[in-house]
Amino acid sequence: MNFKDYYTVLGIEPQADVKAVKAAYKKLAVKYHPDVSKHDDAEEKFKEIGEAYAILSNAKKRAEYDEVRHHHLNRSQHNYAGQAGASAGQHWGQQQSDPQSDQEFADFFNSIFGARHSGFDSRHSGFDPNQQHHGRQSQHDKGQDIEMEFPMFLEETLTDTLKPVSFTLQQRDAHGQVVEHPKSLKVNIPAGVSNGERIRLKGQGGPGQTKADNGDLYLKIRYAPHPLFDVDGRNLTIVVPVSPWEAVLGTKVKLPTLTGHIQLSIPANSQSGQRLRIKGKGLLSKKEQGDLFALLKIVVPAVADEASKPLWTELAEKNTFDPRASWSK
Amino acid sequence: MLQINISEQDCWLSSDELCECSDISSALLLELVEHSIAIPLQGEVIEQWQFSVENLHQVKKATRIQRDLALDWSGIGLILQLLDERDQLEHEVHRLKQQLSRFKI
Repeated sequence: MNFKDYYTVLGIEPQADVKAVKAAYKKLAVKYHPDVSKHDDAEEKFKEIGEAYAILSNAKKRAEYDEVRHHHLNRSQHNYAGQAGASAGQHWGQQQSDPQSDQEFADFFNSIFGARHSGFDSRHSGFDPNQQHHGRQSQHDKGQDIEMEFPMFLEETLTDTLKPVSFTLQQRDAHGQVVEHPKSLKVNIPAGVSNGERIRLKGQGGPGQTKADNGDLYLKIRYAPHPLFDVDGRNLTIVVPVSPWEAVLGTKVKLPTLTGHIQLSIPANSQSGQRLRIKGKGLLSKKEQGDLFALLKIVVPAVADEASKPLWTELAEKNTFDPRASWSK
Repeated sequence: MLQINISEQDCWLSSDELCECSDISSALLLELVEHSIAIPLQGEVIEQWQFSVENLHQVKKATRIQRDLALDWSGIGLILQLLDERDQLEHEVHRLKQQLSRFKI
């Protein structure tokens, strides 16, 4: 069993009064609250902080915990002395590892942490570190709500799409053991779902207690990154590489869209960074379809071939264009 | 395998349903609407209000923050608004970085 030093968790001295315990808890709770924090381990940290606060803010539990902590620190010092002594060639017998003593310590520790659960219940915080469950058991014994990220390709959002959904429900059996139940569904995702949107599947979450409703399953739509298109709301952007002569003379290019290809006319004298709008070729929303923007990127050949070199030279000699003219103003 | 079709009803929640799903009273729902934490998509009075699933998520988040950090509702409304803005800005930065990387040679 790993001993947790709750004073260290809250960053306070063992002599800290209740006011200091509360202040430390509030400061860290704001920092690590899973709904607010972007820290990777926020959920775990927040749970730890909550446990520490539940123990240290309660005089009786704190006194019991201090006793455990004192016992643990003494034991650690003893072990440390044992290791040092052994390295010096002295024989310390069983003092480094005494299973009976360890068991006694664990029992004693558990006797306090049994009380801990009434002080801080992770379910009540709404966060279950065992799975990506972000719901809570309601007062009416409704089953647990489950939320899961649901990746979708951009192309799939244009029409109603039947997608398989698999997840695992965690339940306690009659002996209190956590049992996992894999569950699979097929869900017809409606066209026009947006990135980050949540879809509720009523009653598909955790089973309710005795006649209570099942929890709900929430699918949080997450667009998979696309090799060509960037998403901005309902609009899409595609970067279109064009040669310098295409930019100057204008051209037609075969432009990929989510559903196929279209012919795009690039006007003469186009600039790098210029955006051309293709109406109605973006993502679908419940009301309308977004647009596709072609973002021009002028690309110069990596190496000028021998045949082109005289042409570039002639162009340089005859053209008076100064791309840095604005610098001299 | 069970097949589920998402109906219009699944995308909307009545006031009663929102209260039940987020385990709050209708009095608290009124307060949350007052602080723009929950925003009805339609309906004039509480009995007619309809909410999105996103609203339910916001309400759940707000009640968790209130319980864990003991803040008042106007403070929580402000936090949620700032969190939304942060998410939007992060999304925008990500999008621009991605576009910039496509623009580089």
